Amino acid sequence: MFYLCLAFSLVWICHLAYLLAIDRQVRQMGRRMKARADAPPGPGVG
Amino acid sequence: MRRWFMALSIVMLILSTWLGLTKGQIVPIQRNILYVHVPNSIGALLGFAALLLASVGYLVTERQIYDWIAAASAEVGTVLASILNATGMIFSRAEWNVWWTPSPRLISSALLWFLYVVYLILRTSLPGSRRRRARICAVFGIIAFLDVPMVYISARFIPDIHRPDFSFESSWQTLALVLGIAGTIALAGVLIWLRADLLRRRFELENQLHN
Repeated sequence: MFYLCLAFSLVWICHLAYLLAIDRQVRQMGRRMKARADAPPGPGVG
Repeated sequence: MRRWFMALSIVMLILSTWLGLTKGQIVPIQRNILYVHVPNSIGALLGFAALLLASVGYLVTERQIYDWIAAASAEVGTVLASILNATGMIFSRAEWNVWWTPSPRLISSALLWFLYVVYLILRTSLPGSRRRRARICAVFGIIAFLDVPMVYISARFIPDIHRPDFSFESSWQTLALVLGIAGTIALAGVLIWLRADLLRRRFELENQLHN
């Protein structure tokens, strides 16, 4: 029973952690795109 | 669209877990690890197949989209392969009382994981232009895929602790496994789609900043 719980927990934690990591990257990219759109034209926006 | 696919895949995975642990339970209980081990192994192998196709696509057409799909497939495939190896080790410990044994399938699976970790390291560390890096990674991705058939056929042609075929006693068990496989493949597909889209946007943003 212990090993069964360990395996299922590991799978769900890995899937959710990876989903959350990608979700964070999507939000970060959205913020960068918005900053770029809001900024005046020209270099210096990062 | 993507959110629907993601929700659908998570519902299928929850249903598979529930069915596997209730109506479709296998005796002895540790063998229910199969419901997560097999779907993740199939997902990992399909991820690497997607990497192979995208790498060939990039070498033939040199379109950037194939490079993004290859990078996304490698990343998702590596996550699933890590789960495959970890759940395999847990199953082995529960069933045979050893964490690891040098059987052909275990060695080829571990080698597969290492090859794709090397692929991901190559992607981030290769010097030179974006085009050069993409070409080298595409060639490496194609060569690394040669290990995938080894993982599949090793248990069929070489004596191994893995049983190449197994049969279920009830249709609930089959349904639980099928749902697990479908859910994992759908989740992997959505993740590859999302990751490739992210890489495209990052590329566009960098282009905007440099122009």
